[in-house]
Amino acid sequence: MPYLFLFLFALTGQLSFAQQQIAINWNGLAFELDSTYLLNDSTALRISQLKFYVQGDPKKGGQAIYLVDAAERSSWQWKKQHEVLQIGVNATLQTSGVFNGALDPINGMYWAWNTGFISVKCVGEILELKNGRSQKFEYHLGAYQAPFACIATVIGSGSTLNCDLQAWFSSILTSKVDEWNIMQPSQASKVLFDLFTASFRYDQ
Amino acid sequence: MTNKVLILILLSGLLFSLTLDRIKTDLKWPAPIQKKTAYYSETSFELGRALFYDPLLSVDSSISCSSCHLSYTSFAHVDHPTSHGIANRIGKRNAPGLYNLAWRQDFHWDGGVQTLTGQALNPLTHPDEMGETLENILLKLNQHKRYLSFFKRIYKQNVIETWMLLDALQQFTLALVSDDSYYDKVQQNKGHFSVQQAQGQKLFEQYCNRCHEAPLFFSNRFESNGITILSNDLGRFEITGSESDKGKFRIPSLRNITHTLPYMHDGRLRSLKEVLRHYGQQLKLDDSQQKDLIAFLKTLTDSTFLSNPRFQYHTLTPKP
Repeated sequence: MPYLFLFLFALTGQLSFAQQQIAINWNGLAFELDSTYLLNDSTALRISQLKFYVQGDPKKGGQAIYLVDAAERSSWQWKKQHEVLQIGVNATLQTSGVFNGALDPINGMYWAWNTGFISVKCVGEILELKNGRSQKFEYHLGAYQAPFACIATVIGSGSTLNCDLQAWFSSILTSKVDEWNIMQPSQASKVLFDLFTASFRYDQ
Repeated sequence: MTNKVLILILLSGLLFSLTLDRIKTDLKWPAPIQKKTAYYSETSFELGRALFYDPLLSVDSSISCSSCHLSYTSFAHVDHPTSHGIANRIGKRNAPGLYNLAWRQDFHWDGGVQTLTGQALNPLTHPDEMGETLENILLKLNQHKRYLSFFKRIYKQNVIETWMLLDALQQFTLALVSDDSYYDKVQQNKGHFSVQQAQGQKLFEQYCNRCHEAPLFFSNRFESNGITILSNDLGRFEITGSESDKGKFRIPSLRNITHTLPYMHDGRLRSLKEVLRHYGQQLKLDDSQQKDLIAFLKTLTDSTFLSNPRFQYHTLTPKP
């Protein structure tokens, strides 16, 4: 019996601490790395790595920065409720010289002094179902300087922010971007980043 | 004021020139293989450092040496299996950490380059890395007033030549010495290993030290470690053409290993756990032993080196 109380205590504790969370989905279902998802009748997708930065309340003087890693469920939630969330790392933080916590270069999200932090890193492969061929892709999308700055405010507010990867990849396939490796600030990087941020929706 | 500045400059130059010698005597390291050149000074170090961080050296001015070699991660390209180059190109090998290069006999995963001075030629000109020609690099540098002024001051010539560029870059990379890990402190009786770390050290000495020899934690040899070899990269064989070298690669250093992931010549193993799982099959290490070994490997992290501002981004400032 004491264990039941402990369990309930831990559960309620977790619920009360997690004020805001990201839900990474594939068409409404919880997303899993290295699983194969159908994009359309002829194409499937497998993602092996997905990380992105979320920044809270930047205009209110706060510099809360979170690195959401699809491989680490605990990184999908945080204790504070931010009224405004941004995807990416804004220029102020990029140039502040902070290199710890979410911004520790060991996280593999730091490029170099002139390009700053990667906003979104997504690595995987597209599978052609008819012939079994696969095409690897590597998207490192970021930049803090115009014209390719990759930082965007998510419209709305709430406790759960949904990221729909199916929506993102469907829009990539219909976009004019046909590069499989995007690893530097560029127009293509900016387009894919904008499509990524468009795939976010708060729970109604 | 002028005298104070002069004394500071002289002192910092003296400290710098003593770096390699200090390690030899205090830590009983072997004698360095790569030697300081006649132009070794604080000014040439500053020049080499600026060049290392300057995207000007790449064909489209998009990437610098530091793009794949981050100071914060022991100059490795953390979380990147293989190197990234201009125009989103991907190389076939993992960008290794840059430190303690003075003790290296040869460079690159296949040992295709024998001097640290010559090493920079490959990334500068490789089409999947910085993709530039030496002619263009020299043209750009010779048109750059600040660089021209620094090169003139150091090399006493009016025109920058290839050897000067390579020498200057080497001044920086040769100075990247990592010798202040917790392991080093224990060796100097300034600390003690925990029980787990000590058990890990015993295992290390039993199974790993043959190739990753302390205190450098590498050997100047090429070995096959049992990893599946892919046909697009045969390692040392590509240099020697010898059948016995097929699938052999340089033995990397394990210093700062916690910051140089992913591992192996093509970065295929994402974590230390995966590495030990690979070796564990050969060495039959159980879970507890693997944890002990990782605890010891973590003592090889040199936080002083990783956060040393002297090795971080730098651009040349005009001198009076």
